[in-house]
Amino acid sequence: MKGIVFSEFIELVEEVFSPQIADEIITESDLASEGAYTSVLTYDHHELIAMVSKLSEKTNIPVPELVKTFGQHLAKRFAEQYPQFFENVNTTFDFLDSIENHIHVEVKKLYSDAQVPSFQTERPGPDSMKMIYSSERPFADLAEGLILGTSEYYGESLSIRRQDWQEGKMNFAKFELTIQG
Amino acid sequence: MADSTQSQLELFERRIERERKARKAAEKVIEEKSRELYDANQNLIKFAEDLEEQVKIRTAEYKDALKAAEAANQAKSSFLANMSHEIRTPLNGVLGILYLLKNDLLTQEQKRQLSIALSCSESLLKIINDILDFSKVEAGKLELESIKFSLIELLEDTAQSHILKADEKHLELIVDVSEIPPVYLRGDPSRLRQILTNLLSNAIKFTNQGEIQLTAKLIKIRDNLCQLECQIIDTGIGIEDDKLKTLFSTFNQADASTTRQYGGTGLGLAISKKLCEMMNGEIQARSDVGQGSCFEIKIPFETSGSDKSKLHRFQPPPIKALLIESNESQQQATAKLFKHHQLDLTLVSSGLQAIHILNSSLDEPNPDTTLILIDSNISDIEITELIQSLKQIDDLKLFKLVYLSNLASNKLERLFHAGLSAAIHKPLTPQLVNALLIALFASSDVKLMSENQLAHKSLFLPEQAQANSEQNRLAYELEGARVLVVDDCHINQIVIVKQLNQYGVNCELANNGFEALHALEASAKTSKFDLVLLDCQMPEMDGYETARKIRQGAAGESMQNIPIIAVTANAFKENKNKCLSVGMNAYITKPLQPDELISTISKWLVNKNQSMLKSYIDIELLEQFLATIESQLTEFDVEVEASIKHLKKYRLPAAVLNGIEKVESLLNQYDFENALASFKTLRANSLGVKHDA
Repeated sequence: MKGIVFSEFIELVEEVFSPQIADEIITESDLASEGAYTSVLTYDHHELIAMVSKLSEKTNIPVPELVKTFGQHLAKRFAEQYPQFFENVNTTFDFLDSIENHIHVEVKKLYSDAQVPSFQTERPGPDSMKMIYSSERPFADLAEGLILGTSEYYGESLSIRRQDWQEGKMNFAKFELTIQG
Repeated sequence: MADSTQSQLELFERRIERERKARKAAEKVIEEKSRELYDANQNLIKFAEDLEEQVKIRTAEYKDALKAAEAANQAKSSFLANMSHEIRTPLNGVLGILYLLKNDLLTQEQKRQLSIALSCSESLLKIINDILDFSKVEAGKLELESIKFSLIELLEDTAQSHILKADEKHLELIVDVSEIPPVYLRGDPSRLRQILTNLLSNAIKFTNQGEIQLTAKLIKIRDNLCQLECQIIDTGIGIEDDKLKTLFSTFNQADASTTRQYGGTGLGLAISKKLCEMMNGEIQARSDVGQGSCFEIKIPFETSGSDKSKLHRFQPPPIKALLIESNESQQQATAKLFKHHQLDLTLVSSGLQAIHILNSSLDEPNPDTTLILIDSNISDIEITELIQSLKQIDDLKLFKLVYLSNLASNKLERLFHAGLSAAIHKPLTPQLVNALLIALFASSDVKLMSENQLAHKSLFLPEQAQANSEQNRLAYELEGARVLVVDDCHINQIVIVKQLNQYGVNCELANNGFEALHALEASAKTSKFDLVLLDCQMPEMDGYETARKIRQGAAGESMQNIPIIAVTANAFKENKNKCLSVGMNAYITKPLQPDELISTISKWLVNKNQSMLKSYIDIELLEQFLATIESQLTEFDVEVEASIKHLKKYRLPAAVLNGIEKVESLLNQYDFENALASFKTLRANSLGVKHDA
C-alpha cells in the first residue's frame, strides 16, 4: 500500500485525536516500518490494519467507521494534491468512471509496483451507478469513504447501498449509488 | 508536570526520529530513481546517436546506389547514343542508294518495292533518331539553339509535310493559323518542329476517320515576349483516363497492344514533353475515348522583329466570293482567312449547291461573284465537270476559279486548261491567301513589287503549272558547276556524285584533306572548283583541319574563299559550331537528303554570284529609298547620287526606273529645281501604286 495512505492516516490521527494517540498506536502496533512513512515508498497494508485496530481500541469507535472517515479525509487530500484528476470531470460518477482507466493508469506510470484495487462501474440510469470494488486487501470501507469524500468535493449528495463478499483471497463490494435530490 | 514535559519531549524525539528515518528512506528512493532516470537518459542518447549513425550509413548507401544507378543509366544512354550513331552510318548508305534508284527507270512492281524499302528505311531512321534524341536528353546533352525563325513558315511547312499521310487515310487536316502574325521568333525551330511533327503524326496515326485540326495562336506576354499556344485535336481512338497520366513517361504508349497495332518506340511524347520543358513550356493532353484527343503545347518565345515582306495585306477591290467546301471545320478556317481581306464570302458545301446558288443569284442586282474557291474534298461532282458547268453560266464569264488542294495534283495542268485561275496547296496561311489575291486581282506593278509574296511555294498559277519550275531553276543554276567531293567512304562518294550528276553538276573526288588541297590548288590553274563538299571525319587530315588550311590559303589564294559545306554523321550542335568556327559555310548531316543537299549547294553557289543578279526591290525598301532621296534632293546633299546608284542595283518597276533616270540626267545638268520637281512626281506616282494596292 502506498506510503501516502499511511502518512495521511497518522497526520489525521494527530489532528483529530492527538500526537500522543498517534505515537501510542505506532509504538504499540509494533510496526516493521517503525511508523516512519514516506509517500514515495510502499508498505505492508497490515500495518494500517494494525494501527486502525489499535485506534479503535483506544477510542471505542468501530474500525469501519474510522476507516470510512479516513477515506473521506483522504479524498479531500487527494483533491488538493492531484487536482488535475478532479478538475477534468464534473460529477462524482464521471470521476468514479475515470479511476480504473485513467487515474490508476497514471499511478502505474509513476509507481510500477503499486497494487491498485479494481473499480468496475456501470450506469443503469442517469442518477444511479453500480460499482464493483475488488481487491486482495479488505478496504471496502476505505473505498466507501473515498466515494463519500469525492461526492462532497463535487457538492453532490449520494445514498450508498453496499454489499460485501469474499471469493478466495479476493474481497468484493458492490456499491449501489444514487444521487439524492 | 516535569513528567509530562519529559514525556512530551520523548514523544517529539520519537516523532523526529520517525520523520528522519522517513526522510532518509525517501532520499534513498529519490537517489535511486535519479540514477535510473540518468541511466535511461544515457541510453536514450546513445540510442539516438546509434540511430543517427544508422541513418548516415543508410544515406551513404543510398547515395552510392543512386550514383551506381545514374552511372548505369549514363552508360546505357551513351551506349544507346553510340549504337544509334553506328546504325545511322550504314543506313546512310542504304537510304542514299534507294534515293538514287528512285530516279532510275523502274517497272511498276519495282517502284512499289522500292517505295516500301524507302519507307521502311525512313521509319528506321526516325526510330533511331528518336533513340538518339532520347539518349541525349537522358545524358543531359541535348542543347537548344537560339536562332531567328519565321513561325508562320514553320507551321506551314510542318503541316504541309503531314498532308500526304492524312490524305492517305482520308483524313482532313485543318490548319488554322489566322491568328499568327508574320513575326520572327527566337528559339530552336527544329525542336519546335519536332514536337509538332510528333503530335501531328500521332494524331494521324491514331485517327481512322474524321479530321485533325491544328490551331495556333501567338499571345503577347510583354514586349519581345510572347507565348505560342498550339492545339492538335483529332477525332481518333482517344486515350483512357488512367493511361493519360503516364502518357508522357518514357517507353509508355497508352497500351502495350498499341505498339503491336500502331508501332512506334513510345519515345515521341516523352521527348516532346522534355523539349517543351527545356523551352520553359508545357504540354498537356485530354481525351475522350472513342471521340478523340487534344494535345496542347504552350511555349514562350522571344520575338525578333516582323517579317516586313509579309506585312502588307493586299486589299482587293470589293469582291463577292463563293467557297465550296464540304468539311465544316475547314470551311470555318478558310472563311476566317479570306474575311481578313473584307471579302463578301458565301459558303456552300457541295458543287451542286454552288451551281444552284450562282444560277439563282443572276436575278439579283449585283450578281457579280468574282471569285470561286473550290476545295478538293467536294465529292458530289467531278472537279472538271464543275468547272465546265460554272463556265457555262453566261453572266459569270469574268469570275476566277481557285482550286484548294491537299497535294500536288497531276491534274493541275488539265484544270488550268479547263479554266482554273490558280491552285493552292493547303494549309492556308494569311500569306498564301494574300499572295493568291495579289496574283488574281493586283495590278502588274504591284505584282512585280510583291515578288517575294508571290513566290509562295504553295501557290500555283497557270504558267507555273506547265513545268516544274523549281526543278528547272535548280538545274539551271547548278548546271556545269564544279564541286569537289571530299570523303573517305567510297559509298558516300557514289551517293553524292550520283545525286549531283542529276543536276548537271560536275564532281571530282578526293579521299582525304591532302588530296583535297592538291586538287584545289591544281584546279586554280585550269577550271576552278565552285564549291567543296567536305566530310568531317577522315583519316590523314580531317575536314576541320582541311577547311582551316583552305582558309589560310594552303590551296592557293584564289581558293581561299571557296564555299565549303561540311558533311558529317554527327548531329551534335558542337560539331556545327566547330564547322563554322574553322571557316566552313554550311553544314549538312548524313544521311544526306537529296533535297537538302541540292538546296544547300544551290544556296551557296547562287550566293556567290548574287552580286551579278539583280533582284526585285521590296515595296518597303523602295519607299525608304525614295524618302531618303527626296530629303537629300531638298537639302542639296551630294550623297544623292550614291543613293540613286544604289537603288538602281535593284530591278525596278519600269515607271520608277524611267523617272529616276530622268532625275539623274537633270542632276547631271545641275538643274536641282526640276530634278526635285520631277522626283516628287515620280514619288507621288509610285506611292499611288502602293495606294492602289
